[in-house]
Amino acid sequence: MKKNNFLFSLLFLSQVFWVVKLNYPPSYEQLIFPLTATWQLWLLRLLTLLVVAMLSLQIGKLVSERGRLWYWFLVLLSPLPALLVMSYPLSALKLAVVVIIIKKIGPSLLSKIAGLALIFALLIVVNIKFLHQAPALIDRLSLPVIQAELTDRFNKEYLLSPGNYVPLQIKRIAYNKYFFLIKDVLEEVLRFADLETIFFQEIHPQNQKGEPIFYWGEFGLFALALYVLAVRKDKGRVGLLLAAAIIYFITSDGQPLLRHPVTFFALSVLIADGIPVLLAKRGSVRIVAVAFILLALYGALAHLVDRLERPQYWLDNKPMVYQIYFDSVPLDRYDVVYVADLFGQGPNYCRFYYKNCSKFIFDNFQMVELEPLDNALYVGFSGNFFGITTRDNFDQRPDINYAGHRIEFIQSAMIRDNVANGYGQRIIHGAKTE
Amino acid sequence: MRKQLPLILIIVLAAFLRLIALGKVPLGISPDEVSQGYSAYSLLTTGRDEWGIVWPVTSFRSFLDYKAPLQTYLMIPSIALFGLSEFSIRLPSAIFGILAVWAVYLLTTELFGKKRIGYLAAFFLAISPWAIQFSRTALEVNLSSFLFPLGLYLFLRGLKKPILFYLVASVWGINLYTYHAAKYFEPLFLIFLLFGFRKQLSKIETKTKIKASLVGLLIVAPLLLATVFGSAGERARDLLISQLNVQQTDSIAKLQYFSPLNRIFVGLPRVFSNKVVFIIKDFTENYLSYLSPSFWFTEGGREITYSVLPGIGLLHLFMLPLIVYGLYRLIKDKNPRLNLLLCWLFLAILPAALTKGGYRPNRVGALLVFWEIIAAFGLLKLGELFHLAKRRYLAPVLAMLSLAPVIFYFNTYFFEYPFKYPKALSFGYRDLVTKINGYPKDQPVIVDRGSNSQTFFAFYNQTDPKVFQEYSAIWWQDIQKSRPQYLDQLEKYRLGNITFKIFNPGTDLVEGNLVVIPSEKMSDTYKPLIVDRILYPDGDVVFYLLEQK
Repeated sequence: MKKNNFLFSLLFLSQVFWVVKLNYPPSYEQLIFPLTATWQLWLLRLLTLLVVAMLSLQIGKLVSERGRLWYWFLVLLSPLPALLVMSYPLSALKLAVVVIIIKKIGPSLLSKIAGLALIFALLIVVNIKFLHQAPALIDRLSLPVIQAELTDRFNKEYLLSPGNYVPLQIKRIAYNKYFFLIKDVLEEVLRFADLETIFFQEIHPQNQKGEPIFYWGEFGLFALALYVLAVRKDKGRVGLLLAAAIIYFITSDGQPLLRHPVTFFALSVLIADGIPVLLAKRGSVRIVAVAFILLALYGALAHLVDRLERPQYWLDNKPMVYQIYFDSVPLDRYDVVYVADLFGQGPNYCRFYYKNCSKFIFDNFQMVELEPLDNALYVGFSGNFFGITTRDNFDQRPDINYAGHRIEFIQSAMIRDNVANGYGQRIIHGAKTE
Repeated sequence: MRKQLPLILIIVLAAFLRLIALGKVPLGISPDEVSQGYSAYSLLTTGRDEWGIVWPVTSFRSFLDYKAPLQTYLMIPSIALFGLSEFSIRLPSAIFGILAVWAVYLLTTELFGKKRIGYLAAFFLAISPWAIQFSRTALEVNLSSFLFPLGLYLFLRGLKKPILFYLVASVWGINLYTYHAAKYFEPLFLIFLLFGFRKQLSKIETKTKIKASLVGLLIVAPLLLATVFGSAGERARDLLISQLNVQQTDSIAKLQYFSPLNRIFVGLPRVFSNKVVFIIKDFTENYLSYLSPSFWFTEGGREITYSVLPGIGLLHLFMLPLIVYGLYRLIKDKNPRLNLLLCWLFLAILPAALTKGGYRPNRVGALLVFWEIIAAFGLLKLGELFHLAKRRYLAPVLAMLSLAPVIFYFNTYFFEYPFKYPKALSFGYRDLVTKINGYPKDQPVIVDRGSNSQTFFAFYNQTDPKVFQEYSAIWWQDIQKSRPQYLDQLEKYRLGNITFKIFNPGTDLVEGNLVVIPSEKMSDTYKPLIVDRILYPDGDVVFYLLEQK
């Protein structure tokens, strides 16, 4: 037991160490809370840590006595809880909503249906009201959009030569908005079960980043545990948790990690319940299970090293953009600061870094189209200064002429990835020279 | 006869869906299909393939990709009967696709001991998007959809009637000549069968087992020798994930070099970032891609060149609950066939996962009939669960519900696909060849080489294979010197008055030359030189024909 405690402490501390060492700038979610100083940010992180710890404990109770150690092993191995603590307090609160309701659901079918419906409704409200995020499912539920798609299809078919001679009545069996609605919703739901996303770090070019949820070695444990679950008579609450995970997934949006926190805990419960059964077996099953556990450990270690090496590769770089924007603006030298707010969160970040933002104007300016003001600082991407077609392919001189005015680059920094599509990766602070 | 009526009707349906407008849908034809067709034509008329090789046994050199040979040989009678055309070269694949429906009926009935499940599996396969698409193109992998289940059926029957093992050895031996992935999957599966059925096999006379093994070995021997010593495995080797490219090795080297762990101990980062880890990770990622429900049911494959419709699943959506429930019941009931089926599933993905890139339907061809079997079992079990036999009114309701996705698919495949994705199957060469034939025979033609364009010219012109062989002998000399990976990577090569090379306006746009370029290479400078265009069905341009007056 002591050995286990030592291992768990080590895993826990490695995650905390990563969060503290990184000291990443606040995320959008954190700035929904009225934070105005770094200590408040850390206080929020501490509170989130408490919430995540409480939730992990509560979910852990769903695991059999024998599997609980393995549950903690899986939870502490993944970067997901650490990320929730570091950047996503509202996601942690959404998770709390799910866990609290799951705990209250009774054994009857009616209670389960009502509970899941409540989870669905509450998650949608939180997403729309607080996160200002249209859930992925809502996008799919729009009948006028589907009708427009259908009309477009029919219009195109009329133009074909040779034409489509399937009788309209037959075609209408499939080409109607309700079938398309079901098809679209199912497509969205099926994405939930995309194992590659759950067990691999999906780096999506548009969606920017994605931290791993599980490590690829854990897939083997999952497959074996799934088998154990299928043959087990008492399936506990895993089914309910998985149903809630699907609801969470379809009602949220953004990078996979933020759509799968419930899935993470549900699968952790499932795997943790399965591991003791697998280890109790003799022969090859046991050997394979041990090999997968070692692989998972290795994967976690390899990833921890990678996360320490290049955190910006994994994490959303937009908070970094705002940090570069605001961290070292010499406010006293300028009357006004124009900030190219490409992500629409400028005022929140400004409040965090300066409290008083009266000098700041948030506008996606295009330097080539405006007359630069005296005593004004312009902050934006190279695309804002040189036009979006130029991006970063400009002459790296310290200043440049614009319609007879010289703009001095006070500072410039490169962001790791292209988060501002078309605007380049270089962030510039520029001002008109005397 | 009356007893077999459901099966006959299903086979007729399968035949209808696979044979109707076979030469026209899908629109266009892939270089691989054309190359095999022309090789068959060459064999038929000269007894040698287009490279002048006498009756190749283990592989066809083709574009230097060394294609598996069975399909090419099957095309010979079809070409002899119907001439060299899109229809004739696709016909063997379509026939095997129809036969697969029969084979899956036999296998499923044998597996579960119920004809009803057999009929259901056969019906699902008859209307399966994946099976239809693969049957309607001359893809090597489709042949396996008949041979593999037939072999497995014969094996299971052979446990009771050992004489059938000779047939098993023959059918599975021949199956190894269908496509590359079969060479990896089938031996592994056979090892499993020998181990899993060791008790039953031990009861069979040793003489029969030895004789059957010898039959198999005899059929496989040329392939074994060629795989070890020759070129049969070359294409497969190129595709293996272990063949890392420069970017990948560079990325690993960078991770090692820049790691802060070097400060602790130089060389420590190699523990975490190395080739082995990279390959294992790649393998697992690929493997999981083939278990993705989106891949099977909604998004389909990620390479449209192999007759895959983007955004359309390989299986009908209504099969999803049937498959999930079928798998669940197989596991829950500890069905005696569970191990066999799971082994089939997990081993079939192995060769695909070992090759570069995931989500490639043509690499998991060994699963072509698998899901239909599971879905049929699932439907039967669901029927039992909901007492469908008593509630007969539910059957038509369920049938109607499944009708919508089926109609949606057929309308998309037969009517929208030809217009939406003709580019995927190199549409335009037929018209191009016809247009070029309208020019003087001695006029030099420069073709900006696409993917092995020469094969289309030979195919549509029905070029005398003896003439082609003379040119290919010259190409082979150049290949020996420059060692390209594929034929179309040669700097330039000629077939009659046509030269295939990368378009160079400076040297190619001279008086007297007719130059063919794809639309993406068109620029304002060449617009005054346009003499003709080849169009897609929607009016977009495929090729421009240019001439310097």
